[in-house]
Formats: sequence, C-alpha cells, structure tokens
Amino acid sequence: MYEQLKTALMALTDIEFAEHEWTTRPAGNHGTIQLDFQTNSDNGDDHHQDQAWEGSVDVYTVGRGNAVAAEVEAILEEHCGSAWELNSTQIEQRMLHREYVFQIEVI
Amino acid sequence: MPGGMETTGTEELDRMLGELGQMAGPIAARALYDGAAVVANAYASAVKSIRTGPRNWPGAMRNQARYALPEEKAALTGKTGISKFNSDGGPEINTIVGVAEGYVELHGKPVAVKLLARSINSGTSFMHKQPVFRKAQRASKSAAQAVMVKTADALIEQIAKK
Repeated sequence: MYEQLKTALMALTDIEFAEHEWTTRPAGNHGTIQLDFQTNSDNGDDHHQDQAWEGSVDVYTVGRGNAVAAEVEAILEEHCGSAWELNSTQIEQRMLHREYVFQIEVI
Repeated sequence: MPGGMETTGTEELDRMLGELGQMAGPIAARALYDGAAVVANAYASAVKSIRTGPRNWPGAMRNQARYALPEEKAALTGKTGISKFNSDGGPEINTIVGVAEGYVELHGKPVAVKLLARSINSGTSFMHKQPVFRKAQRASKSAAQAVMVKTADALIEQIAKK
C-alpha cells in the first residue's frame, strides 16, 4: 500500500518527490514522503486494533500551488481513503509548505 | 376505579440521581483533566526525545537539513502542559494540551514557542521533521481515554455510596 502511494506521488509531473529528505532541495515545487511511526488504528466494529503506520507527505510549492496540492490530495484519497488530513501549512523561504499526515498499511 | 401504584424506598435513588445531575459537569471536568494530564506527560517525554545536532553540517553534508539545535530543545523543555479550563458555566468543557503560549529568546530574537514546536514536529525547508508531538498524541490517546473513564467511574461511585 505504502509503496503504491509512493510510486503514485513520484509519478506526478508538476512536483518532484523524494523519500525522507532531499540532499539538495530543488528550487521548484518539491516534496517528501516518509513513514513516521507505527500506530494502532481502531477498528470501529469490534474494537479490534489494527497495526498501521502513520506517515507524512510534505509539499513545498512556489506560490499557492493549489493545483499541485489537489493532485497530491487525490492520490492520498485514492490510497488512504479517509485516513489522511492536512496537518499544517506554513510559509517558509517564499514557499508554501503543506504537511499531510496519513495512516496506511505497509505490505 | 383504576388501581394506583405506590412505590416506596426511592428517596435514596432520587437523591443520587439529583446529585449526579448537579455533579455531571465537575465529574466530566475532573475526568478530562486527568486524561489531559496523561497526554501532557507524553508531550513532556516527547521533548526529551528530540534529536539535536549542529547548525551546519561539515563538508559534503553541508547542504543537508539539520536537526534541532540544543538550545531549541532546551527552549521547549518545561513548556508543555495543560492550559486552564474554560469556566463560563456552559455545557462544553475545553482545555488545551500542548506547548505553552508565549515566546522564548533564541539566537537573540523572540521566537513563539508554538512555532518552534511546529518547526521541529513538521520539519522545515532546512530542518529535519521529528514528529515527536504527533507520535505522543497518538500513543497516549488510549491511555488518556482509560484514565478518564476510571476517574468518572470513581467519582460516580463516591456519590452512590454517600
């Protein structure tokens, strides 16, 4: 599941993705994807707890980057269902930094 | 003539239910506070786990993102906790668990504590992300819920035993 999410993000053409960190960050739209920690996700039906991972996608855009963000969000929706959210936004060095967090199974 | 039904011995139940009704707010507040304390403790531990490093990496690593500086970690130490509860008498009871409001002096400038915590938690264009607060929040959720239930149960039992 995570590998498919990563592959889909890396295939985007309007933004360059790397896993974990960039050694030298591109000047244009760029992002990172990483798994942050293992977590328990509640299964609402029988209180059974599934082991999942919580990860994050960081998107840095020149300007607002709404179109790029929409593409990223569509991929998160496709691979994580409703288990993702926009955790924070921040302007950093003339770029807009969006941080998405998601939960996913790692197969 | 229709038959009537008389019940006796319900005075104790009436008293208990009446008292529970009056005490519902304080019970919920106490339970919430105890649960928030669990999360606050997890946040305090999270600060201790922040990895630190130098401002600039040497040689070929010089363009790589840095970790939090020791002084940034020190600035967050003791700045986590629980804010005061709202007490407007309304039906909602709110509190905030997390990092303190206000500023710390860093590199000769005032820096908002929340901004510093956010930079470490989410990373920046020049700093590695260390989602220690997000992890602490997730990890302590179940324990906090269990403590809240335990506190509420204990307080309700006290009223029932009076």
